[in-house]
Amino acid sequence: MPTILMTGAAGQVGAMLRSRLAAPGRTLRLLDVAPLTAGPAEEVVQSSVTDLDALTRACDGAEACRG
Amino acid sequence: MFASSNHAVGFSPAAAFPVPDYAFPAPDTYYGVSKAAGEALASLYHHRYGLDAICLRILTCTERPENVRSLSTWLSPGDAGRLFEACLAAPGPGFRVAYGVSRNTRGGWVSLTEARALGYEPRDDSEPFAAEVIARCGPPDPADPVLAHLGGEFCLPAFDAGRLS
Repeated sequence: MPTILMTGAAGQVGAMLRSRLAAPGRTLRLLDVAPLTAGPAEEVVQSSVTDLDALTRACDGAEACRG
Repeated sequence: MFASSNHAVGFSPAAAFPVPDYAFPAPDTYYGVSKAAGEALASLYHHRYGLDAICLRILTCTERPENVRSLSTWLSPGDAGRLFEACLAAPGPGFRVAYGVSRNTRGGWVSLTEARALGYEPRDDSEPFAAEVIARCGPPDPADPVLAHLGGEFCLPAFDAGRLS
């Protein structure tokens, strides 16, 4: 099941893309410093893109990312 | 995919519209510099490590166009979804730089050639909002400095570094 990592998912564009990039069989992994609540087929990672260890973990298993 | 911005080339003058794909950076703010730097990193990671990297210079992505400039620069949420979806589906894209904008009647500020080559076909147009925007903001003024460059108000002195808090 493809996973897409979306950084800045709580931002203006991230919020608009979240519902629009939802697709059957796809998992959206949402990363932001701001808190988010995961919906169906979503995962939430609350961290900064400047945290290398956290970002490395967030990229694990992701086939594409949008930053 | 890297969500770049028109502000990476914000100082592109209206006389040069449509701004070409891959136009050399002309950032209008440190925000624009950060986007140009992100594009440079994407290029590095593509050429050195083989990563597919698409830099999307997004114009004005809002629920609806809110001012005269955005009648030309609006990227509707639906078209934004279609643009990113097209990029996800593009086979072996390599390194690309493309613009993200809807098919606005008052558009033509940037090239859509590369975005279309990636499979994007915009469907939305700001024009149905034009009457309301113009009633609220006034008609487009060719002398308005906001309309002189792609980056709009970001190019104005109010965005000089010393005035930013």
